[in-house]
Amino acid sequence: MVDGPGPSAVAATSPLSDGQEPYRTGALLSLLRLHWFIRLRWALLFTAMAVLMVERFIWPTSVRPGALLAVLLVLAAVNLWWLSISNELWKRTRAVEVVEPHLIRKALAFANAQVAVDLLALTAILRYTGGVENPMAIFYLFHVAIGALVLTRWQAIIQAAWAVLLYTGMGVAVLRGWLKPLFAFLPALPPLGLQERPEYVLAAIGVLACGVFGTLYFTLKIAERFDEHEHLLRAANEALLNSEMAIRELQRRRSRFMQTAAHQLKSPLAGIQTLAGLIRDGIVPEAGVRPTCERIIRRCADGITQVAELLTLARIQEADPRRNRTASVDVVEVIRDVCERNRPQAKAKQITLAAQVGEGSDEATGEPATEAEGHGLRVWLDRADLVDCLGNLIENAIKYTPGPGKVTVTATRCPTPQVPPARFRAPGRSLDTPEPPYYVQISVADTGMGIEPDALAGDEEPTGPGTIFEAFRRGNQALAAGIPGTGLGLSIVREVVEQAGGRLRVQSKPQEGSTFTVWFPADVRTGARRATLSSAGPAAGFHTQVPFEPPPSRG
Amino acid sequence: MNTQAKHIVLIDDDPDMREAIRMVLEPLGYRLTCCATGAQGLSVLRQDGADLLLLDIMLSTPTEGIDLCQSMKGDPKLRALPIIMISAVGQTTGMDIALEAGGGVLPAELFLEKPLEAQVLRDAVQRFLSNKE
Repeated sequence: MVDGPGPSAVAATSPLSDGQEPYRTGALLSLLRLHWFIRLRWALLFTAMAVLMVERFIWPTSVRPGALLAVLLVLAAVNLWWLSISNELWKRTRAVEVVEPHLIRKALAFANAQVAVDLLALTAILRYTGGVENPMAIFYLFHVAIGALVLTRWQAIIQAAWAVLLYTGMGVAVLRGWLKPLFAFLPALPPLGLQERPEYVLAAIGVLACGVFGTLYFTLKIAERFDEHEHLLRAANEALLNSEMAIRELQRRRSRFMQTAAHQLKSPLAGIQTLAGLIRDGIVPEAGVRPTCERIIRRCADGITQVAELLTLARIQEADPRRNRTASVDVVEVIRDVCERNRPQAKAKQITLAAQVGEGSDEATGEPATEAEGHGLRVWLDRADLVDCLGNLIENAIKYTPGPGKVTVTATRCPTPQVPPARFRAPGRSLDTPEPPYYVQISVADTGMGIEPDALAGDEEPTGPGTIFEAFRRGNQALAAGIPGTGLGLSIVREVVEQAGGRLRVQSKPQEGSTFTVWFPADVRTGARRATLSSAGPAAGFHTQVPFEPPPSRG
Repeated sequence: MNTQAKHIVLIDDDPDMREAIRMVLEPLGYRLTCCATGAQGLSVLRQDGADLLLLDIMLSTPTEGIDLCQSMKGDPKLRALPIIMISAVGQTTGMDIALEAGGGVLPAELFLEKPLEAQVLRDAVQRFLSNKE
């Protein structure tokens, strides 16, 4: 016997529960797919009508009450109304970017109304088709289940109570004679008289109530699970989208880098060809041939330097980020080496190159120097990387300081610097590296020409894109002064710092000088421990940087 | 030939290219001012004016040349100045850079790709400066 409004009066595919704003939008959208359920209700109404007609044809003597027909017709009229409301809500939701709370409230009210009216219609149909004797009461459960999935928790509970109340009201009213007893049902299936037996009516109400609340409980539990999973799925999806965007951004940067690199490599070649062509065409005067040849040779050397620096940059970029964590290097020794190497250039320009290394002079930490042999400043870094990093900073300081002047290199141990960490751009690296207990701060200060503020004002961060830390970017003052350079030195510095989980800062005043400061995680082990653990990685408190791991599941 | 030497401003961060262009153009009787940065070039243009601008695209930033052209567009004195772009990037890449910098089309009358041939440069410059007569 199919003559009810059917099971799917109201349903939606995703749960909507209290206080979980992030996925309201999606839930609301599915709620607005109620279009589909309204259409289903049409189908069921037509089926019910058809069944009534067939019944009439098979048992011509059976007489269905006009009231039953009236219930179906009222339901049809209400459904027509639902349809217009649904259209309206759908239109409004589509029109706005973000679904507003009042739209969510309206959609919920709409869903509630549909469930409540469907329950009422079901009760009315039951009333005219056998009352408590009609097993079609099972359809209450569908409505309750659907309500639990679509509505908020309390709304679903109220709808369940409404269902039980309706059924109880119908049963009790017939039992007590407040409603007229059932008229003749099917001739082949006469009334059993159960609706007049209190024990049966009570049992039927009890069973229905148990069924309704049991269904409510389990469906709410399932909906909760759904919620959790949907939440996790959305979070995972968001993370995926973010990392896809990061990869796209990285790709864009890479291709821009390639383009710039190719341009920069082409420049010396173009210069060489142009100058050689001038010599060939006899445009260079006799006296100018030799200097022009010198220029060509210098240009070749420039090109070779550029290729070498690009290779260095590639080596650092390609390096396994964990590599820096398994070996530490003595800062003092590297500073001495690099200074020694640059002393001739400094001397030639009358620049004093001074190194002040505060071995254990860490008043900030309040700890005595830990190294018996006097090498208290070690950082988690490959020696070659530190040499590249400091080499570039010291060479720059000398290059951009007109003599006489002074370049001072200092190194001290310090706690966490008040400088944001260099951003990790490459995907596949952990964003939340534990904070190391101490850093070694190395600064290179000069009394040189300084850097114009423009070259330090990046789009995003003081050492980011658009600044002199970007590959091939050179300061205007450097260009104006005609100082040769590849524009790669500071990108190498930044890359080393990023890879090591360090920090980087530049302070500069045009015509007064610049100070570049880098911080690297300090190796705080004692000499003896280091000897035994030389390849064991960092000491307690600073852990190996692990590759990207998904956040722990909350489910 | 007019008596007053035509003034050409060259903006290129590459000292060799500046020297090479000087060697080609100065014997032809032009007055050439070489600048390494866009800012320098712009101040020379504003002070002395010019008959022709030779401009590299990628200076201290990849779009500095394009940016310079845009600021010249806003200057009534410099708006009509003919520009020859000289760059190691090809014309297609140059147009991409111009597009990205928001200028749309390459804001130059002529595009020369480095390496430069003396004859090509000579012809280009003479074409512009004799047209103006």
